[in-house]
Amino acid sequence: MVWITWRQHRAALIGMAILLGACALALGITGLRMQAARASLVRSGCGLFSAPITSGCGSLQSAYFRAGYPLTSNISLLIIVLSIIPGVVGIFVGAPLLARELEAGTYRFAWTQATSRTRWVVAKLLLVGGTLTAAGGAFGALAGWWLLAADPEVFASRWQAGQFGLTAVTFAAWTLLAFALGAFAGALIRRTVPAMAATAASVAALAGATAWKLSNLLISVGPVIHRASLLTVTPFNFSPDAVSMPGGGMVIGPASSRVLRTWFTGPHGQTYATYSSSMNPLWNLKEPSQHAWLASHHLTLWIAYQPAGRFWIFQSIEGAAGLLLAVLLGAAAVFVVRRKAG
Amino acid sequence: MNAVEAAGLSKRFRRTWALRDCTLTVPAGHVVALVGPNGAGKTTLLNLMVGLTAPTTGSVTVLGGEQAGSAAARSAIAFVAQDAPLYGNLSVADTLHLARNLNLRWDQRRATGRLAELGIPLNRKVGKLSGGQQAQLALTLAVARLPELIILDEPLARLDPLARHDFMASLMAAVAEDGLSVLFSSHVVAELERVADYLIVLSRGQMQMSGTVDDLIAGHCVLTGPAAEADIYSERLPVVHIRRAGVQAHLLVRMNGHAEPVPPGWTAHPVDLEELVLAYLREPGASALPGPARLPGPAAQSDTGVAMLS
Repeated sequence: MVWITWRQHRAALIGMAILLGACALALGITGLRMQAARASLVRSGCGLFSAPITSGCGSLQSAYFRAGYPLTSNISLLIIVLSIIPGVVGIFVGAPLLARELEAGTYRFAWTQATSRTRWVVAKLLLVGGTLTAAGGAFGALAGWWLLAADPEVFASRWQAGQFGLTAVTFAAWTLLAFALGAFAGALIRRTVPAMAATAASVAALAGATAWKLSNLLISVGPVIHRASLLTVTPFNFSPDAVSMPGGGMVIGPASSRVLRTWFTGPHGQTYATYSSSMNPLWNLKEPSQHAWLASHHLTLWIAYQPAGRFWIFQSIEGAAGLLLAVLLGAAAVFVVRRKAG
Repeated sequence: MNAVEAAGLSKRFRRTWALRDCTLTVPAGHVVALVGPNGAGKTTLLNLMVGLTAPTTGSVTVLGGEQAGSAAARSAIAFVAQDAPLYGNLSVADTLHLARNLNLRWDQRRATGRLAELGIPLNRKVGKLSGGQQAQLALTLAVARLPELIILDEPLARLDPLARHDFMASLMAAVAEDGLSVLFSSHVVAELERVADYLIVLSRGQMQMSGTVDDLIAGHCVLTGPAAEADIYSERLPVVHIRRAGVQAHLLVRMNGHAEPVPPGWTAHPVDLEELVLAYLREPGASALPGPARLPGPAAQSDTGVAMLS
């Protein structure tokens, strides 16, 4: 069955290998160049954006930005493009997997041989799905590494919906899920092009729902709650994982953590939302006086955050959910094939 | 052993019945032609036999009681579906490799030998072969599986007359060599007697006639006489079909096991197979199925069954 499956789906798998390989090459080259440029920045004691202005930091900084060009010119767009890849796999490998057989009538040959059709379809799903998952894992790891290389200080937030999907775990899970969705749609619809369209629509809906809500819902579960202090923030230590304050300040959690929300408590345990009107006097003050004002009113600032160490736990949860859904869809495709009659 | 046995077999697709209450027995060792017009239910019946379709009611078993589509049935039956669907983007050699991997029994030397005889190159893509070559390749794949029964759905439909002849010759050679049973469907009625020795006629989803060609021919005759008297005899005799040609009429008569006395002024001729099949197909209401057979055991001791025959 290995030979058969490989021989029948060789073209689709090679096509995917070319697509992933081309993207991986671009990411790999720019990533390595950025890493090297960054290493020389660090050696010279230069920051990425800021001083010391002397001693040629400027040229090193521009060398760093050139190293990632043109991929770094619009990282948000790049993240979207990379996040589409699992969907492409589902559309071009998953959907035709069974639909083409059913459409062309070759299933009448395949299912009347001594080997059972169940074995035939399970082998296809496991071998092709397994290969794609492995490739997706490798590619996701590369993409995650690249994002850190491109953006080590500023926008580097693995917790954001786009970046959260670009790791070995989630990218592999999404690749398998999209493939299984395509295979199931193909078995059900029995025609290649409509199955591809249905796969595109359902993967887009699922990925959209995850990026928009589900991911954030997941990582808001059971945060650590801790006292915090206000920081004045320069534009350069802005972090998407922090929570910004009305006055332009910001509350930052421990390194690489994700701050979910902040609030104040008074001396008698009453709570005040950060944006409540009773806090307005605070936001009109400059930073040193803010601390004094808070102390005089016996107010404490609290944050709820997810520590860095939980990142891979949440990754595993999303990965496991994707895997489970993919297995269910695969089983449903097998069921449809077994039941298909006439 | 019976190659195929069906009892009360029916198949409904949504609201239309493709096959209705089909009961049949095909003994092994025959070349069986399943004949009927387009839409008669031939493909449905064959798909039921190979397990590609599940029956709505009734049951079908093959090769002496194996469930149609079961592992044992699949490994002993080779099926060539209509238009011989194969993977167009695979080479002939890869197609052989594929079939070998999907089967436990496989005679590679026989497959390559046949293809060499037919002049089908192994490195050619299947999609680039002619229709006749694709049909021959499909037959080669079926024969190389060393089956007990080959089922072919409209194997001749796509072929030109020469390719038809070659295809049937190859099939008959395989039958002679291996002694296997063959069941093929066809809407082409001509030249059937040269290949088939058993006939099933299906019309509008129902069985019309089934039996060995010899029995069917011996069981019918054509009476030719004055057209004016045709109606008298058509009521007295089991007439399947009346063909009027001017002053003369030809009555195709079924003889229920005993020769009818030829009326004065009429002559009797033996019927040929094509004429017989066409007559039945023109009269979908007529049927000549094996009547209820006498059961062994005490329950069947009386001869009342004979009365039911007439």
